[in-house]
Amino acid sequence: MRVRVKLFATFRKGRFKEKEMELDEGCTVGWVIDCLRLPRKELGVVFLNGLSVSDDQQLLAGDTLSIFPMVGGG
Amino acid sequence: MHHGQGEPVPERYLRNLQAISASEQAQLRDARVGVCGCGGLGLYVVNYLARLGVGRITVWDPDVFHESNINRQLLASYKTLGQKKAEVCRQYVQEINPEVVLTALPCLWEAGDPVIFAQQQVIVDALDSIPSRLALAEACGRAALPMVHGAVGGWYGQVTVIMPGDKTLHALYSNTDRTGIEEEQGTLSFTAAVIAGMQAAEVIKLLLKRESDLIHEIGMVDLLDLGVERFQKNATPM
Repeated sequence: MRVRVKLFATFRKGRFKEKEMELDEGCTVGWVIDCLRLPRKELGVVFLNGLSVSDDQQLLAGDTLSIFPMVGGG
Repeated sequence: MHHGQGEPVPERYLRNLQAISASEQAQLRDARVGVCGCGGLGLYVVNYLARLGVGRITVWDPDVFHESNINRQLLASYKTLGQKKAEVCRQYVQEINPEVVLTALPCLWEAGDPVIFAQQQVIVDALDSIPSRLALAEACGRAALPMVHGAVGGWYGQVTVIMPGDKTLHALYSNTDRTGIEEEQGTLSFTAAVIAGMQAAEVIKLLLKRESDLIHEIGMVDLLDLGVERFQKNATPM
């Protein structure tokens, strides 16, 4: 199945801004995060089709995943 | 000095008109806003609110200015090194707008008088610690106060409005063991100013009961690739 993955801020460096990924059925948000080697310690909010989700959320064909690093400075 | 309904707007506010009406300007004079943190975000937020004419501002920050603050913090200079940020902020506000009553509390907001906290109409989250931000959101919820959240790191920032009961901050900071990108990326002056400006705009909208999309959305700002992404908050929080 095809899922659109969008990366933001520092997660774009050495990766991409936006990409269609071919994934197996039943694939989770967490699997995509690990596949892209996104550092877990910097992981912030993840939106699936515009709504925030947790790592164990399963993906469906046509989904759009937006992944942000955590930003907490003041 | 004093102006009310039907009285002329003071000259220093003439360039606020008509974006803010004369009666709204009078409302701002009577408004009470609490700003937690006088760092990169907080000092800009206070600067904007004081110039806008928000009449009573309370700031909490236990810290003094360090040389490493100079790259981004509005009142950090070689003259103010070692001085309490909250007190420097009070003196600055008195110079730019003597009508504003600024209460400077040189302590953590958690350690301050809860009565003063509860007297505010809007709280600004300009903190730099994730656990403290989450605790502030909880405290605002208990006190039934809206909170304007802002956070920055490098070229990036985020802003949203947390109404009582809204658990969005827990979605943004789901794991408090993690560190924000600011640890590695630092914070740039213009990123702090942009996000603080957005926070000040949200404070004014809340005080004047104007509509704001950020009550229902999270705004993610990227100043490197120049983008503002808007995401709907979840109807049922995680």
